Amino acid sequence: MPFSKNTESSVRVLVIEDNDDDRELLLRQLKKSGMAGHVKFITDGRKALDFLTVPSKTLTEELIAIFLDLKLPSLSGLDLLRRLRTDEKLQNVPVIVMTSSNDPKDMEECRKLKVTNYVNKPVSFTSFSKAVADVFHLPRQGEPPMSVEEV
Amino acid sequence: MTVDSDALRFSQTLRSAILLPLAVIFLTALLLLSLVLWLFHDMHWSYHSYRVLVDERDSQTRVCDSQDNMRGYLLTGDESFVRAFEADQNATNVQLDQLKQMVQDNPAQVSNAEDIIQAKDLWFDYAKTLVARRVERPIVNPQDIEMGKTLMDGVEAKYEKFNQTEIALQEERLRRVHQMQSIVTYGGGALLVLLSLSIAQVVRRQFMKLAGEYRRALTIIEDRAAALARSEADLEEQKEWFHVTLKSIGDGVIVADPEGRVVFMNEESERLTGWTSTDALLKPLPEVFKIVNEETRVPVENPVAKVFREKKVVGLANHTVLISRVGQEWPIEDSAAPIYDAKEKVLGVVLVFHNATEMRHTQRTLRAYSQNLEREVAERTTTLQQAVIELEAFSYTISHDLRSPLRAMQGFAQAVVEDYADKLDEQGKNYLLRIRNAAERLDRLIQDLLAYTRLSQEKAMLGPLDLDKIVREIIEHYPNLHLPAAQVEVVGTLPKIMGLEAALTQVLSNLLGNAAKFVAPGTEPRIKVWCEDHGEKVRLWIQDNGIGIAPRDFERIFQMFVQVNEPQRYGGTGMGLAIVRKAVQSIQGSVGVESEEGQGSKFWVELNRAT
Repeated sequence: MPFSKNTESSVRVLVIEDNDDDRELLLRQLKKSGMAGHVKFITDGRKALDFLTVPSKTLTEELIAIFLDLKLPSLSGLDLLRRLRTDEKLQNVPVIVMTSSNDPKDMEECRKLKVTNYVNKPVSFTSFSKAVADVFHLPRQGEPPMSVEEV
Repeated sequence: MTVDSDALRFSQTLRSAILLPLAVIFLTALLLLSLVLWLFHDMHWSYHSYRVLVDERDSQTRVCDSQDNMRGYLLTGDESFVRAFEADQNATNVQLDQLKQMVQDNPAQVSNAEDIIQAKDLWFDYAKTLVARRVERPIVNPQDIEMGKTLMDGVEAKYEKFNQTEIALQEERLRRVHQMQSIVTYGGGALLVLLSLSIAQVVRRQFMKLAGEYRRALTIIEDRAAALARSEADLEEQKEWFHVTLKSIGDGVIVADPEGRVVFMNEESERLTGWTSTDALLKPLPEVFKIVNEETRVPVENPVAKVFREKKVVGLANHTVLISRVGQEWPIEDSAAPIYDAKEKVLGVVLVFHNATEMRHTQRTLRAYSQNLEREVAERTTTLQQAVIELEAFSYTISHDLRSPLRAMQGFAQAVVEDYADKLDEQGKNYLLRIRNAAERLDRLIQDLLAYTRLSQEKAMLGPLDLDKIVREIIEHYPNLHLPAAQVEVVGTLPKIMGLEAALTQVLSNLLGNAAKFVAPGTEPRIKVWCEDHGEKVRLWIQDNGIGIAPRDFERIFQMFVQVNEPQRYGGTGMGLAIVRKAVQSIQGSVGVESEEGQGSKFWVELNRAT
């Protein structure tokens, strides 16, 4: 599995995706544009939760956004999202959901969990970078624009 | 024949039976009377002749006496003879005058009487001269005697003639009397016999006739009496029939009088109320016919009172229970109707009711059954809904899982094209492009099919939507709907309509997408969007300058997988307008198109105005 060789402190975007093909294709484009170093791929909800809940001041401060696939083994995207929303440190991290089916029930659930944005699969470099850029422009209701100031 | 004319005939017959014989008798009596009168008349004249003869004899005797007296005087000179003689003369004068008077009717006898008078006068004149001469000469001359005798003979001859004539007359009259007697005796007798016979005949005939009439009248009376008896029998039979019918009728029947008292009960009503007709007679109806509401146990209004009040047929409310005399309860159904007389006055009320136990039971069973059915339907609906939900979830899973490998195919094909372009010849690149395009097409097809399927399943509540905002957002969102790709003009502010945002967005993006897509090569798409008022409805128009649609295809284009315009050039899945129609229907709208080939198209969508 091709993981980014960067240290944890440099992770600015987390992509949680279990599909090898989707991961590979996105990574390819990120590599081409030199952004791969700041993106960490995680293949499963449980692993993502483990990674995020390890106490690390830098991670929460540096993390710009999480790209989340809803269909994940062991812990689904929505379950993970719920955990994040209950976590004091992580509840304000922007979450961008990667969809392919637009299941209205999932969409409704996502709205309740205050998903920041959505991108359609396949995620191209263009849609990826636009979504990341939008994080800084979209209003974040009632939340201190902490990450924006950091950047 | 009427009774009056019968009576007339009868009295006529009676009259003729009595009056006719009376008249005949009267006439006969008259005839007989006149005959008798004739007889009396003849007898009278016969008697008259007799008296004439007697008087004539008396007169003749006196004349003879006068001769004796004259002779006596002549012989004796005694003056008394003279006085007797003079008396005789006077008497004879009177008698002969009377006699003449008596035969006044008979001129011949009058003449004879005058002859007698003349002869007598001659006698007396002569006799007187003799008497007078006696004084001078007392001796009588025999010649004088002879003269006297001759004169006397003349007188007697005249008397004789008168006498003979009168006797002949008397005989004639007697003969006539006898004749008349015979006529009276035989003719009268014959007349009487004839009369009797004819009266008897007439009376007999009249009485026969009368008897006929009487018989006829009697027959008529008998007939009428028979008819009366028959109709009485019929009435009785009818009464009996009604009685039996009412008695044997399956429903309970109670008749109440205007005071609301029971006057009739049939067997069924006796059975249900537990009262016998005899016991219930003239009892107030509510006492006999106790009814309460099955559930509330509240007494139900006496239907008879209701009929008297409303003067029409009334029915009992549902769930009425009749409580019998012994406390048994019967669920009943009933109706009460007024009995009217000819003047529309209510004479009483007929109450008809029946045991509704079976019906109530059936109703309950039916209700239970229908409840059961409802529950089953609800259960099955839930199951079905569950199935639909599962199917929907399944469709999203399919969508996700099917599209995932397609994305990989597209992505890796693209990667090969980009990363290994220098190692591939044109043919190789072409093949890779085809792989990518095919995958893209399959992906769109899957998405459209799923969109279509989901539309058919949606039954969401419609809400008010801002059409203007939605249209402008769609135009904003799709790069192919604004400059430089296309010119899209929205005229005015579009109104608010009733709909479902997802469906409406699908419709508008498909229609606008088509408008921008189906243009001749090299033509800049120009699209115009506006709304028209249609009362409760709003018609949204989307006009383009595209290639247009032949009228024969207006219906086909809304079917699934139909592409009428060069699919190679314009691509697409043939699902777009099918999805549009389905989506429009799901929000209770309609969709159509006006177009000509090469003249652009005008699609319209009619939607309900927001309330």
